[in-house]
Amino acid sequence: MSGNHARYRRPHNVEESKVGERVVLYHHDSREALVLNPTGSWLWQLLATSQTKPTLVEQLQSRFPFLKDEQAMSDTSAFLDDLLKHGMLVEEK
Amino acid sequence: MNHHASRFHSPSSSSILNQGFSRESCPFTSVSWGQRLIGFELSSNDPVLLGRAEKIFRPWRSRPPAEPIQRWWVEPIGGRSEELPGRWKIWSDSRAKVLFGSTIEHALMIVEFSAVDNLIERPDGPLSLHGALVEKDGKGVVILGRGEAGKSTFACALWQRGWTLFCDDTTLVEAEAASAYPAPRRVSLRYPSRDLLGEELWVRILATPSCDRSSEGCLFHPDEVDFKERSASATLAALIFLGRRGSSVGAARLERLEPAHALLALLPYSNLIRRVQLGEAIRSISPLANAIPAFDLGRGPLEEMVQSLERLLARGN
Repeated sequence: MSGNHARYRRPHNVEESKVGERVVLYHHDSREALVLNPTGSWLWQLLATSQTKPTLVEQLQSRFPFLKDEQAMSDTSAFLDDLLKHGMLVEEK
Repeated sequence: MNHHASRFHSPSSSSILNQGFSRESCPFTSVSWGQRLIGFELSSNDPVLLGRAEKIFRPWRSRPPAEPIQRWWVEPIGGRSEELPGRWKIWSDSRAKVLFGSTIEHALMIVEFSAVDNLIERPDGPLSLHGALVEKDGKGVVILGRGEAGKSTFACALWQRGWTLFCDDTTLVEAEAASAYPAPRRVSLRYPSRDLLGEELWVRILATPSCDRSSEGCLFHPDEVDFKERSASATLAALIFLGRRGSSVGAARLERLEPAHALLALLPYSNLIRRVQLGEAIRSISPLANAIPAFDLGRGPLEEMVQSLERLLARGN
């Protein structure tokens, strides 16, 4: 995982479908599908434009004000790592 | 195949007259049937076979489409049908392999099942789900499950309690309109269902005009038993999964699936999974998963399963 200045964006070969409160992602090359939880689905919407991790953490805390800094950072990192692992996200250094 | 087509589409050179049937006593040389814009046509020079086909395909003959997507020909091998036991040669304009039936009933079963296979495998065909379609009070329900999951058994249990049974195996779906209609194939009951249905009903089914026995049980039209008029399609109110892998729902209990999980659960039961890329399948099924609530139903005593489903529909999901 890179530092806080890295930007993250959606790759072109990932298709999204909004189903209920969740987003289903489909990777055209790996032919893998991933269901995001409602919070992950909300973060995914923010990634329509490239974002840095601190920006996402900040947005997450404004949506969930009770969320402590450490928890917000940990949740956001886990979300980004998971998407990167599945090739559903691109990191721009 | 074209030489076959011209042979049977030319009444003047048909062998009907050679068989001792006047054209007046054999008013047609083909039977057409279909669902929505998908149609089929069966031609033969055997009036007995065509008469039987009329009965079998009756529910899907009211609105035959203009142009069939597949044509079938069925002819006796080595002469007249009265010389049975003979074998019947079956071929179509969209498959190279010639098939054989041992009797008229067997030959028509092959056409009936093969036509549905063709329909669900066509790249431009409708979305289909491997499941039974039932309806009560204008609310349609598709019952989904792997082979032997008990779809037909549960569908028949509902039928016995006043539900309308449309089909037991293949349901065609218009995802955007949230409506469903049966694939053009008779309901198939296996011999173990005899105990569930009871002897009296089983005997009534066997006595219906379009019923044929198969090696596994029988094929029949439910409307020849309950005499209920069926609409062409049902408005979907729920999708029910029986014995879904990963489900831990209790016996005869219903548990709602989130739409995104319902979408993934629907994929293996849809024809799209074999026909198009996963992404396109997800896109096509999403409207259905979004519009229609889906539930796991735990297997348990049939009466309790029926009651659970009826309670669900009564409270409007």
